[in-house]
Amino acid sequence: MAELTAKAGSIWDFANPARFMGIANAVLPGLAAVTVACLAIGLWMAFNAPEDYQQGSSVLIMFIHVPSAWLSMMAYTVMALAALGTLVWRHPLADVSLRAAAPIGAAFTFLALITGSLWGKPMWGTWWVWDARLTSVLVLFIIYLGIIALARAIEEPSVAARALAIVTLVGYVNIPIIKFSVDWWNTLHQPASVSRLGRPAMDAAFLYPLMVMALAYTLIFLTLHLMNMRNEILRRRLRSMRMLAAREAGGA
Amino acid sequence: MNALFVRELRLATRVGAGALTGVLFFLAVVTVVPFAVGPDLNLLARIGPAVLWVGALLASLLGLDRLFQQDREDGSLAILAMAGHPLALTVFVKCLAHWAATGLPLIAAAPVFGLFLNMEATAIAATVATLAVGTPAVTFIGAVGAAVTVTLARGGLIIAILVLPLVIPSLIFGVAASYGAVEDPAPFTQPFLMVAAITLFFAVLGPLSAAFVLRHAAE
Amino acid sequence: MLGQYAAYIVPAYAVSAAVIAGLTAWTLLQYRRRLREIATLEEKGVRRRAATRKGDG
Repeated sequence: MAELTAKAGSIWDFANPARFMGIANAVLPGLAAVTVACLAIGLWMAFNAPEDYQQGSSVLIMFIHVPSAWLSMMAYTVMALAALGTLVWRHPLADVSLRAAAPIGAAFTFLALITGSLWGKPMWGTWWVWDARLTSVLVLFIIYLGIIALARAIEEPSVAARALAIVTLVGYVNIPIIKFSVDWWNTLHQPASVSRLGRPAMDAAFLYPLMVMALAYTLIFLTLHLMNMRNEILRRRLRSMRMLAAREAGGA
Repeated sequence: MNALFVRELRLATRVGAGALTGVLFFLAVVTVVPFAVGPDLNLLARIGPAVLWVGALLASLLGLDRLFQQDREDGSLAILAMAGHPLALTVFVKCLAHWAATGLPLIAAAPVFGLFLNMEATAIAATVATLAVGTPAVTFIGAVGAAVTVTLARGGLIIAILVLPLVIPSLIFGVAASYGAVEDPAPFTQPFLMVAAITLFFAVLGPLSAAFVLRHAAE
Repeated sequence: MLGQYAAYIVPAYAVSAAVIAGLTAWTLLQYRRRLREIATLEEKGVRRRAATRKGDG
């Protein structure tokens, strides 16, 4: 009896992911092409932008640093929405989406930290400052790693789905608190050596390349996310096939 | 609920002497610091509140994985989940008992360790006060970590990774308030109230989230 | 074109390219490997749980 209901449930589960696989397979080639084109245009615009009078050519790093930082937050927002999808609607794809987004988000957060550090060295004279923004992004990176560690640790998919969703949401609720406390902490211990670069309204010469690069990075995220979701669905299919094979072998 | 609190407290103090392990770990952390930074008493007095906070924070992470594990193994989690009370309330009481069994000893030990670090009486008092108000937050967030890893055999390390980033605000405001009590221009009340606010916030968010996860883990 | 900051710009772009390319390659490799593993399992006669619904995909 129990086995029968479990089987019926899994067929229902599978209906949506199977349709999703079809859509993903159809969309991905075009999406990848648009992504590469947008990235190429963005890079061309970035390298043809004038030098900043204050920061010189180092402004080139901004065109990859700022989109990485945006994506680090956008990926987490996608994960938080997926967590809601898991908890409220129990949609099987929501958990797939959360799991697929985590490593990509962690990668962009890592890039934001590295490129920020490489930008900070010539501008501030040091690789790392315990600046409010950098510190918040570092904490976000640790949260990502915790979620990935948890996702890898729990075997049972339904338990993992709920656990990941809750942890993601609790983390999301905390981000403003962490941001606020770190801001406060930073004004308390303002390091004297850091000269904050006042950045008034950004010049259009930098704004347009930045926007195109941000769009390109968003498209990179979408492409990789779709690809990773496809992998996650295949991983689950593989897992259930292996279990079925083991059960048949055991039963025979 | 009173009965549950007493039961939990008794279990927590009996099983494996978790409180003693926590205090010993706290002692070890505090002892290691002077060997690392040198026996300069002025320096130790200056970093004292920070050392106490970091030590207490790490020590209170230690026993978290046992918050629900035993209940799940012996089946009492399922009974608690089905009992008349909301599960979140049960989790809240369990957290309080866990904190009373493991957090209070740390706070009681903190003044002694403060003397090791050559801290002034005011600084010690302020640190103890912030620890008393701030460490429950670790337990309440830890409840979420303990709930999501309850099915894992060795969840302790993952709990630490999940919980540490979330308790940074408590740490920041706790240490800041401790300094505020001794250093003149810095305020004490404002960060102290922030520590209290964060603890209250997690007192709601933690048990609710943990109960949500546990209800399904118990099924 | 890169000026005095080339020593920082080049690594920044190199690391970004490496991470994004690496992530893409890793994702593609896993996709291929999983498809292959599913195919071998199917050859061995392990039925897909939704074999009847194949038309959906």
